[in-house]
Amino acid sequence: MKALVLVLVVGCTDTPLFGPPTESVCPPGGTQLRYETFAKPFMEAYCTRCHDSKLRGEDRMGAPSFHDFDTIYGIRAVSDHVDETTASGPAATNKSMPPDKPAPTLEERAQLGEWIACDMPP
Amino acid sequence: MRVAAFLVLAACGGDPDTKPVDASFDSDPTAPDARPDLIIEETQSLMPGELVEGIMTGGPPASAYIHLEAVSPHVGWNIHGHANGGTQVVHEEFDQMTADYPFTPGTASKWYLLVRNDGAVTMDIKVKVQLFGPFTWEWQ
Repeated sequence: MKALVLVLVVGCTDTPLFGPPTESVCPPGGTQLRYETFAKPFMEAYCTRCHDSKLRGEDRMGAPSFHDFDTIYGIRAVSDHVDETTASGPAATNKSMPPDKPAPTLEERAQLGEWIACDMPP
Repeated sequence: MRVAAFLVLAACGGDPDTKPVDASFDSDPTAPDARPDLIIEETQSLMPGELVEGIMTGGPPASAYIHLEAVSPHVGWNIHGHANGGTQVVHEEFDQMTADYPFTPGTASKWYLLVRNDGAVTMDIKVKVQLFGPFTWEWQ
């Protein structure tokens, strides 16, 4: 007897995607991190291979629509979730995103938390 | 003997849009006598790539009727939830000039309406949401 069972799960995992807020804080003097010099290259290196507004359907590899990080607006719209999946701070280090390589270093995750905590300067 | 089984799970918890609501509640926005309990009507001026998000909080027997309108076919939008620590897209449309969608939540939760200007120039998008029953609304 030969049994073939194919199970296709789209966008559904048992492990929660979102971790706790990192509680990152903006330094007293503000941050030197900027969208153009930090967040944009960060997203291009680790996120926009799935989370890009130009991608549709299967090319998104499960990334939900309109959760796109190829613009600063896209990041700002769901920045809480970016913090809860990707950033690092005093309260948590969240590593559920990206789900594959390449992935940011711990230092880069902490910088992401700081940039978000400082209201994501352009 | 050969057995082939194909199981497709499209989203956690199924499609909330297909679940019936309490028939005793007047929640069908297409019904002639339906009266919304709350109407949100705003024109959002969005730069290229910019989004706005509204949050509807509630569940059955609540429902909503969403109407979007712009001057060019570059409106993208979805309704999604975040149950079980993930993201479930209930409905999505791309490159629309207008959109009309009756939304009936399957469970009590927060439901997120994301609207984006996918055009190349700043655009006004009229957002009208009629809420029926125990739904609350807030802009993100």
